[in-house]
Formats: sequence, structure tokens, C-alpha cells
Amino acid sequence: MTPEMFKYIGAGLATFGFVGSGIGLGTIFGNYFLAVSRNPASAPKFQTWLFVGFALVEAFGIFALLIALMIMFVI
Amino acid sequence: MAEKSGDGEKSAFDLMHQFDITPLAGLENTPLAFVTNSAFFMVLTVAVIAVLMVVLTLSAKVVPGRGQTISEIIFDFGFGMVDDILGKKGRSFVTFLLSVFLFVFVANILGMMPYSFTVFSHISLTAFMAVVIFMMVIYVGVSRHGLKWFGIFAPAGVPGWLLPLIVVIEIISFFMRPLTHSLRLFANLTAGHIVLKVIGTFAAGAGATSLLTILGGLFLTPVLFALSALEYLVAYLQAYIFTLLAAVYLAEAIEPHH
Repeated sequence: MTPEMFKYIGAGLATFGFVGSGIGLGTIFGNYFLAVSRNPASAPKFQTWLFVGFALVEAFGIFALLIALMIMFVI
Repeated sequence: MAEKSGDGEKSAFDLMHQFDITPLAGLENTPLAFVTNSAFFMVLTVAVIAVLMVVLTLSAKVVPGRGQTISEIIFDFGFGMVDDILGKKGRSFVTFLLSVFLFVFVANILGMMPYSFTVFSHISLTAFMAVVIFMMVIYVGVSRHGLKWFGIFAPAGVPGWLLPLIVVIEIISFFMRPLTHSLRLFANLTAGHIVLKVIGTFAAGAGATSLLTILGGLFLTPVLFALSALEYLVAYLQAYIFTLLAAVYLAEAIEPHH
């Protein structure tokens, strides 16, 4: 095992941060579809904030990606 | 990332090669070598938008024709998004936000064409746009509300003993904004194009060496087709989200809630 190998393992482990991002995105879109199926008229009202929530949750997955990229290419 | 795809290792599996910035073909050793594929596609994007808009509104009438209807749909989209988030006060930002949206969207669509270059797969450009928007938010906030605007770091209704902690967290999350704002666009486009390249290399390069690889190639071609459709969706969605977040950040500058 060379240090180079540990770098790749670490970068791979860092992508586990996407688990939380995935759970969050599932919750957001699941709840959106639940709300819209109960009250279809409310769909346009929620749509904008659906994507804002989507972007905010995805930010944490992006932090994990940032760590992985830093391990791979910066350190 | 570029050093991973140096000239030394040009295999069929060179996934990062598509993101290399090089001078346009034929200009390598001329004084015009600063015209890279990235610069060319940025100028092309602006030219496409400008020509399209001029042509569509060439004969503007009260009762719109076919072309004018398309341009009105684009403008209604911008006004609708700004009205939703910024309210009537934010009407002066419609042109800026619509320009940002059209630039990102058209650049992404042009980047999907074969042999073209995806300008937003480079974090230098996305970070530049995100930092400009970040500084614009601070400027708009301070010019409209004075130093009182920095009260957004202390939300109302927080108990006094918790306030120091909340202020620190708010300041950190405020300065993380340009980072996530730029990385989202960059990461989505880069990852999408790498996936397309991987599947495309498999589908084309599996080769007719045996029956199994032929079947694999036949199976992967529809997958590649579906993934391309998904990439077009991502191209639109990421442009929309980039603009939407810029609008949300501007909303806090125009009307801070504290």
C-alpha cells in the first residue's frame, strides 16, 4: 500500500457525503409530490421553492464532492 | 484536472481530454493563440442569443407573430421568476437575471453538441459569475439599507445566549454561498459529460470482437440516447437553478428579514 492508494480510498470515502444529500432530495421531492397530489392547484406555488430547497440540500453533497476533489487534485 | 489528461496518456478512455482548453485549430503558433475553444464558445453563445433575439423581434407588432411570441415567452419566464422571488421591487433586476439565465442555458445547450466545448465545465468561469453575483448582493444590500443591512447575520427571535453562535454560523454560510453556487453548475456539467463519455466509449469501443460485446454495444446505444436527453434536462435545470439562487440571494439584499 503506497500513500497514493490511500489518497484514492479517501476520495472514494469522501463521496459518502452524497448519501445524506440523496436522502434529503428524496424527502423534498417526495413531499412535493405528496402535497401536489393532494392539492394539484398548489403546484405552481411550490415549484419555485422546490428548486430552492433542492439547491440548498444539494449544497451539502457538493461539499463532499469538494473534499473528494481536494484529496485527489490539491493535497 | 488538466494534468491528469496530459498528452502522454491519450487512450480511448481519456475522460478529461474533452475539457482541455486549447487554441482553436490553426491558430496554435500565431499571435491569435489567445482565441481558445472556451473563448470561442463564449462569444458564440452571446452571438446566438443576440442574433436570435434581434431576428425574433425584427417586426414587433401589438398582435405578436410567431417569432415575437417565442421572445415574449422568454421574457414572461424571466418576469415570472423575478416576480415570484423578488416581488415588484425587483423588476430592475429582470434584465440581469434573464441575461445570466440565457447565457448559461445557451452555453450548456451548445456544449451538448458533438465536438463542441462546454464552457461551464470549468470552475474558473462559474466561480467568476458566482463571485460577481455575491459582490453585487453585498453592494445592493449596503446601498439600499446602509450598514443596517448586516443585521441579516442576526435573525430575529433568537434567544440572546444563542446569538453569538448563530451569528458565526450565519456569517460562515453567507461566505460559503459563492462556493456552492459555482460548484453546483461546474460539478453537474462535468459529471454529466464524463458519464456520457464513459457510456459512449463503451458503446462505440466495445468493438465487434465477440457476440457478447456486439450485444453490449446494441444495449448501450439506447442508454446513451436516454442519458443525452437527461443531459439536456440538466442543462436547463442547472441554468434555472443558478439564476434562481442569484434571485434568492438578491431578494435578501432588497428586503432583508430581521
